[in-house]
Amino acid sequence: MGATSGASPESPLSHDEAAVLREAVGKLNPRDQEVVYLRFFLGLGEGETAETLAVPEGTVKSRLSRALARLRIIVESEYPGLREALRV
Amino acid sequence: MTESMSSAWEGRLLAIARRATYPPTPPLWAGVRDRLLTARSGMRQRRLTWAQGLAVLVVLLVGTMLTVPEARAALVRILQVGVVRVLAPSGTSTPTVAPAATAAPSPTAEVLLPPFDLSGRKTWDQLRGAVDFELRLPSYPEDLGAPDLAFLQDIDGPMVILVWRLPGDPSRARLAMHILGPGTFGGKAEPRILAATEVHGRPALWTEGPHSLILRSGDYVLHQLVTGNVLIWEEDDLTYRLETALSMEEAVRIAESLR
Repeated sequence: MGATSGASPESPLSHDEAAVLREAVGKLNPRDQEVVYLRFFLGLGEGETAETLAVPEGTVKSRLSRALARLRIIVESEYPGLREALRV
Repeated sequence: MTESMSSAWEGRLLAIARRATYPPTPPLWAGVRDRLLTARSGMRQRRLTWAQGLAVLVVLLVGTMLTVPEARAALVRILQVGVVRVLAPSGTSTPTVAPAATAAPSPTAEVLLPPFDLSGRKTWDQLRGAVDFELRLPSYPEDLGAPDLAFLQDIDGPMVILVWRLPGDPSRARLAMHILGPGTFGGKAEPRILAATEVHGRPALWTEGPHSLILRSGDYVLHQLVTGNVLIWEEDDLTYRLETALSMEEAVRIAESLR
């Protein structure tokens, strides 16, 4: 996940934020939830996610991209605290 | 690192998601269940092969996975019994027939998360008349009898869920058994305990520890936390999934008692 995968020392992340994130993800449609859940919460790689969902990796990429775009809109509009936590 | 995960925003998202404690408040995404049970799938069915497709089940044994980043990078190998596929990190020891290292609880040990609130509830008689395969029930333990709760969920094909309540405490379950048809399953496992065993001499899988159960059919997905131990086996093109707090030996005995 590279350098962006960890919490920065100046902005510690909390379990509460994770709960809020889960709530926000829960507002996605089921297919979007699934791919976000597998990739981010369970940390599966794209290949693993593709295998799990029985779809090509390209499908995972496109589905994830759309899901994240939708999630970002949800976060920006409905979860100001989480929006700030996600701000870099 | 992939393009889709490359942005700083996504990196922060990942960092937060990684801190999700597990289990939080089960079921994880109860709202999804409603959609699973009420919506119709008009989506692609290429991976669903039973009566135009059955709910796809993913067994995800999370254990400590969410707090052990190294586990995320592990390659997985697939263990499959019937339509249930468990993906185990390559670091997981090869399953053996050795019994799981658990004490044998009483035959009335309960499933911690009873699926009491599922849709598609039927009486036992209604259920028997609604499916085109033989419904067999455990004859062990002797006092088990017919299930207290029966559900038939028909998204693209039937999936039967049977629940036996805990004697003396009807709010809790003693056993829960899923009966699933052929289909495609997938998942990932970081099993605390994953053991191979046999039911009537055929391969079966035994898992212990909290895990996430995902039922999927087309666009619809159910995520549910499962805290019980699970025995998975296949008979007559049906895949059985027995959730219990019992030991593996007891679960196998129950599985082999289907009549």
